[in-house]
Amino acid sequence: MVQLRENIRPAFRALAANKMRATLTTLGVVIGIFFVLLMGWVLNGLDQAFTQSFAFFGDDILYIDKYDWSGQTDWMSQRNRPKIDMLQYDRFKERMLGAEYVVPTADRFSSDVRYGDLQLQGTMVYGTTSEYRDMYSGVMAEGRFFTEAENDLGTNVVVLGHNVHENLFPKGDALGRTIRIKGQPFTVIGVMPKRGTMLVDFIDNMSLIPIKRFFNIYGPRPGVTINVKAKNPEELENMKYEAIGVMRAVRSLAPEDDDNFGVNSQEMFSQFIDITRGVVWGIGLFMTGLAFLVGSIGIMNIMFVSVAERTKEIGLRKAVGATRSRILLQFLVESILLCLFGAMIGLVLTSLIAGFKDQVVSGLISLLSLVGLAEADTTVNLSFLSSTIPATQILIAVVVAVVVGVMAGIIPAFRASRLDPVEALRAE
Amino acid sequence: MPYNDEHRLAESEGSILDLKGITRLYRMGEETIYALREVSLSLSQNEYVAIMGPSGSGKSTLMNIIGCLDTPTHGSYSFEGEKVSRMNDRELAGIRNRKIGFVFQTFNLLPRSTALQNVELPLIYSGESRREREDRAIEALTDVSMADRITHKPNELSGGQRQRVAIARALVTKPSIILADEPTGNLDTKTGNEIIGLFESLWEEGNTIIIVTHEEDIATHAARIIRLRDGGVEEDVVNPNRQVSRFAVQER
Repeated sequence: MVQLRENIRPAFRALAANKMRATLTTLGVVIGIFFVLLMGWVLNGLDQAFTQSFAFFGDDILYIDKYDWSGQTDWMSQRNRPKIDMLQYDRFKERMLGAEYVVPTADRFSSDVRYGDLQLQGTMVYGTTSEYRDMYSGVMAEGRFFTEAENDLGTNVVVLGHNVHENLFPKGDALGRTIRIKGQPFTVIGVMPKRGTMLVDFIDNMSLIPIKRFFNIYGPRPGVTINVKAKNPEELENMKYEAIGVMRAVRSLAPEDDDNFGVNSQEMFSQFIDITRGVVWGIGLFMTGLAFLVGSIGIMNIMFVSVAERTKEIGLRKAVGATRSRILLQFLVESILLCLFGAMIGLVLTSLIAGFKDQVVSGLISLLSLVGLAEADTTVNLSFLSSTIPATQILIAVVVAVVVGVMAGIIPAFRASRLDPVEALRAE
Repeated sequence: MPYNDEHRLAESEGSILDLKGITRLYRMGEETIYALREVSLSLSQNEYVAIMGPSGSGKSTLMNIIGCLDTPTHGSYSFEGEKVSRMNDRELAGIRNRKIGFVFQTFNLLPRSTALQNVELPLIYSGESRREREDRAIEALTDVSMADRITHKPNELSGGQRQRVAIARALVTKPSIILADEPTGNLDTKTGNEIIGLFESLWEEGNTIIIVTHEEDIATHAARIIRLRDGGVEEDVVNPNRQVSRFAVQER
């Protein structure tokens, strides 16, 4: 450590003597670090967005549905599967003893949800039971959920999703009012808080009604998704096997038959995350690799120049007692500092972009619209990106800079350390 | 003959360095050049020696070998009883650091460092603490009358002042020998004489000094003159008409 400290000051002095050269040399490293940080920043944002987005599916909930959501099984063959109906749901619930809650949901896209003259397009109507509220904690913002009795009777009551509420009742006076779904009057008894995220917001566009009433309106065709909640997340895997067994029994499948239903969980979405991640990594790594290749060649070149320029100094240092390893260390430290300097510039650039991300992107969009590559009024939701670079990213960038510094500096430094002192002192 | 070498070493009590049959060859393609041929000499504590000779006589090679910057092809070299001719690179660096103070014709100061930092340099490599380095560097600079210039950089100093800083750097480790290669070569006569005077006073303080030069004027101040020719010792004598530098007195 003492040795290192003694090497840092002269390295700073040497770099300070050639500020312009040092800055130009580190351009490759600046760009490389810029990409590393940018990539890390975006990936970090995406990760958070995904995690948050899919969190409401719950890490302790299985969704038994006609379809496999993962898309691994051929969709055409899934189409021919029988739908799950309420009778199967009742039988399933009866036998599914390992679950905390077993709740049915059925959904329909509806273009006919209206209040007075306001009509909403593209919202969803959900049918479910009163247990839905117990299963998903925190689904109520205002009012109440429907009761078991209202469910059994098929009363015309509705709980509105966040967006539905905002659009139909901008003043927020929804409770007690009557809206119409497919022409039928429903009394608003409750409002849900915002549950969706940037990537998954359909959940805020739904209106929840008792499932019995749902089938009255839409007929028997919509299938049921069975929501099965485990007692805790650790039991989800065991519960999955139980659920498959119970569902097969409900459907009286023979041992040789394949499952004709899908058992889905939040995990399914991680595949989607992995693909996006892979694309960002692929592009990022390529750009970063290229920048570092160019950057380290630049650094190596300038280190060779630095060694050549200071041959006499190396000779003198050897004459007064510097060992080979001290000379090696001296030039390595210089090369590393050069890279860290580049990393610092890269960090400042990325931090500026992160700090002014909205301005940067809108600037980009208007630039692209000038050449006709984008609509001038395009807006991008960047809320998933943090406005600072995460500390771990900075740490990674520093480590990368040091590694590049060592790799680019080791050959020139080694050559310097091997110089013959007599020859070196004779140099001009 | 290793035994003999050890034996003779024991005999030459008090000698700092002993060179026996030193030969240094350079191979240039097919040709072999003898830079030094069978040179033997020994130096005692507190000698003041001038090594002289025309260019090509081998005096630079001899200086490099004495200074442990180069190793002989044949022969043995002992420095205070240590077999330098068998040392590896790392050990040689250690000897150069602790035992030898170099003074060069072109001063060889680090241009971006202050006088103090330049003088501290050898102490960095011997691992002294910052405090210790500073104290000893200031002491050495005081010894060469440069105490009031410690924060100056080389380009703010005159030639003579630069050489004084370089001499302070050579002194700072309290080496066994001071090895000066044409120390006045880049100085005018007056300044050169001052530097020679400084060497003289250092000698009087008990230092051992070797000056490599081709100038008779410089050599006349030395107590012993070794003349080289064609890679061999032509003459090795006590200086019969040694001159005391009149600057030496002023320096005191």
